[in-house]
Amino acid sequence: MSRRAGLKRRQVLAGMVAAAPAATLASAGGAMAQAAVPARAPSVPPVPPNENVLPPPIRLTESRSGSDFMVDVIKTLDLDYIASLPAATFRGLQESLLNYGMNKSPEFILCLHEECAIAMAHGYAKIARKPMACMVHGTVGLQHASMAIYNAYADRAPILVISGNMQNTAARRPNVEWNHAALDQNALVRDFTKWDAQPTSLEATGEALVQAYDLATTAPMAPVLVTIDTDVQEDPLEKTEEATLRIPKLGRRVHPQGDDEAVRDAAKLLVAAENPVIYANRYGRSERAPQLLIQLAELLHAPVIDGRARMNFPSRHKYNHSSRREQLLAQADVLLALEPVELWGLTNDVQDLIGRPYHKLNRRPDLKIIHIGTESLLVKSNYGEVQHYAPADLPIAGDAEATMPSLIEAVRRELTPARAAVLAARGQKLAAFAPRLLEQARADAVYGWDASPISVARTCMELWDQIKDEDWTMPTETVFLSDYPHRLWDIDKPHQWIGGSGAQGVGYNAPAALGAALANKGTGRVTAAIIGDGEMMMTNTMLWTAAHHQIPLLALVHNNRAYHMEVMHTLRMADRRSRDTSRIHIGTDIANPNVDYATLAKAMGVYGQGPIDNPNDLGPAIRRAIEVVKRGEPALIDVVSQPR
Amino acid sequence: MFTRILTIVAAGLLWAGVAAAQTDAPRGDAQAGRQLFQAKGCYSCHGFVGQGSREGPRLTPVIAFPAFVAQLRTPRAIMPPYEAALVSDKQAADIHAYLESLPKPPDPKSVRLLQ
Ligand SMILES: Cc1ncc(C[n+]2csc(CCOP(=O)(O)OP(=O)(O)O)c2C)c(N)n1
Ligand SMILES: [Mg+2]
Repeated sequence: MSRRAGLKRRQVLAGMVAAAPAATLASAGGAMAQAAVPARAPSVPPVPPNENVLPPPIRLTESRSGSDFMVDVIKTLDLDYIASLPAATFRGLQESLLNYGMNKSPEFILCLHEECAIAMAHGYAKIARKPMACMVHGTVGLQHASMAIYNAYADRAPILVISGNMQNTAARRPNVEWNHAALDQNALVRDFTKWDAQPTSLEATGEALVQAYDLATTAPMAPVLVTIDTDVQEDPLEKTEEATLRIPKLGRRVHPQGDDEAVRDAAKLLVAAENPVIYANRYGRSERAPQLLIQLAELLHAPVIDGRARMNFPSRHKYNHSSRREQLLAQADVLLALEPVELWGLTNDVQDLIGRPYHKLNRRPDLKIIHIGTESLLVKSNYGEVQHYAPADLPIAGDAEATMPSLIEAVRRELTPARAAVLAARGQKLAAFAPRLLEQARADAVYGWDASPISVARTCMELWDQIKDEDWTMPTETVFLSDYPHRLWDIDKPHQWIGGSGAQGVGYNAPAALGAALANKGTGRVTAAIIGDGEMMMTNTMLWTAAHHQIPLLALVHNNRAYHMEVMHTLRMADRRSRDTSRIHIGTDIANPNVDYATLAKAMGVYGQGPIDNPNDLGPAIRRAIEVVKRGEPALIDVVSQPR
Repeated sequence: MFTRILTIVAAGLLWAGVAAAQTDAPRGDAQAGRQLFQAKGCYSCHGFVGQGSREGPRLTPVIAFPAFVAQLRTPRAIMPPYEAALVSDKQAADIHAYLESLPKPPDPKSVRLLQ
């Protein structure tokens, strides 16, 4: 297994020979051992019980170990944190990180569930724009981590996952070490990692870690997994051997860009279009993304529909017409889809009715679709996150953000002054319409304004009122909040919104919010999350991590006392069948008893308030919580809420 | 979402004309309707006070009763159907009365947080 496997084997054999007689005598009291006692005991002096029972190893201490070298490698990778739940398969590396690496770059973040560790790294990556590492136990820890890895994969977020495995079966201690080892443990998540490795030597481990980081952080980004051998971590590292080890140097990150000629054709189509529409979904990869999209939209005077998988475009820009999606798409003659993730659904639908009828959406027959994205650059067969096959008229494989400067340039070249004037006139109409979208959102929000349970619009606006003059991040999904933050808030900075889970695996939101707050730590930014009660209960141990590491997160629980999504699904089935609608709450409500989230928070060392069911109490509660957060500590508010 | 609401409102006006001839609509009890609105699951998409959500349009001001019943029995869009076995005409009238009884919301211009 390791480079020193031969030496190690000799050491063990030597020890066994030396200790064999003593071991035999010492265990002679046991029934099993008695059977093994030779008929004629060898004539050696008796030894006191419990001494020299084990073969004395030739070497009891080591000054430098394989895992120290792994830390040398990890320290070249620009990793600030490593989130982990401790375990024996990586005890060597853990100790090296703490004592050899001095718990800096990366610093250890203790999570109480592997799913929290991965989801934290997922949220962190989207604010920090770089990955965090996670360390999870062989087999069982990786099993716990797997759903969160799937979310991050479907969301194309980079994470360096490290796991341990004792590959050499001959050297495995019996029992637990066998249970927590596998022949090919990476197979568990291979369908939803970009790359994985199980190196069997120290040198190969160094190479694998750098290669994994490289692949994870080059678009399309995704989690990667390196399983490091337990033995390779723990083996002594001799000076002579160390001198032979190399650490590959990580180069600059460069992302794949769309083909020049195809980009020119796209520009021609867009400039000539009568009603072009831009749809951006997982487009915003870096800080500069929204600015580039503003440039393009303003050159073309084209409306933007935001799919919101990232911060793509300012919510109140005059060309952000996301809430007119169907209307715009029905009129479009050219659709530019930027990292759409799910392209088919822009023109087709399967209705949630008996028989699941196919429904062709109302689109112009001459609609031309330009697709710029990395979807086709990372495709695996097994899991459905790949989505429907949707051929575009002009499919351009490449990172949309990386392609944007050349697309903007190509559009500029296509635009004659006369054409630019025509497009500007279109822009005036769009701009005149934009204020009505905000007015409509406000007119909708006012219904149920004073209701109890508290309306989601009210909760969103009470929060907005107190963060709008701060630097802030909203790190959690807004679909279950009827999109009110996007409809009502002024979201215009790249770090204010990070998109969602990717694969809708419940359990993402709370720890991902904490990861975002960790990335924001020390910047004075307020990270303000609104988290479903079902989400919160799935991964609530993140609260302890928030308190322990003093990560300032403001968490409002959207407490509708249910897995409300499932209430609606079960209701739909009961309605179709004309059956009892009162029984749909069995197995879907999280009530009786009601969870007391404030007490839950306090139990984990987090400032907690609530349950709050009077909307007039919410503003003051948020004010108090923000004071706590500004002191650098987490705070939670239990908001008894309307379902959606 | 508001385009969907507009569709429903327009449909309501259309049906209201058809319904003008029908005078046998049962009298509704708003208090009973409030409970039915929850028990039958209406609240789950439309909110406890019919304020609407991403899942279902706002229900106030409520459309005329015949159009309301038509939408329940043979819904447009993807709302699940409520046959008479699940919501009787009398119960539908109660729910309708509940929605009618709801107070008008404040003017958005008078709400500080919505400025
Ligand atoms: C791991 C996992 N289990 C179950 C589901 C199914 N599911 C989708 S949404 C949802 C409800 C989540 O509850 P909550 O966060 O309270 O949101 P609500 O719908 O109540 O607003 C569930 C259980 C899922 N998506 N992922
Ligand atoms: Mg819930």
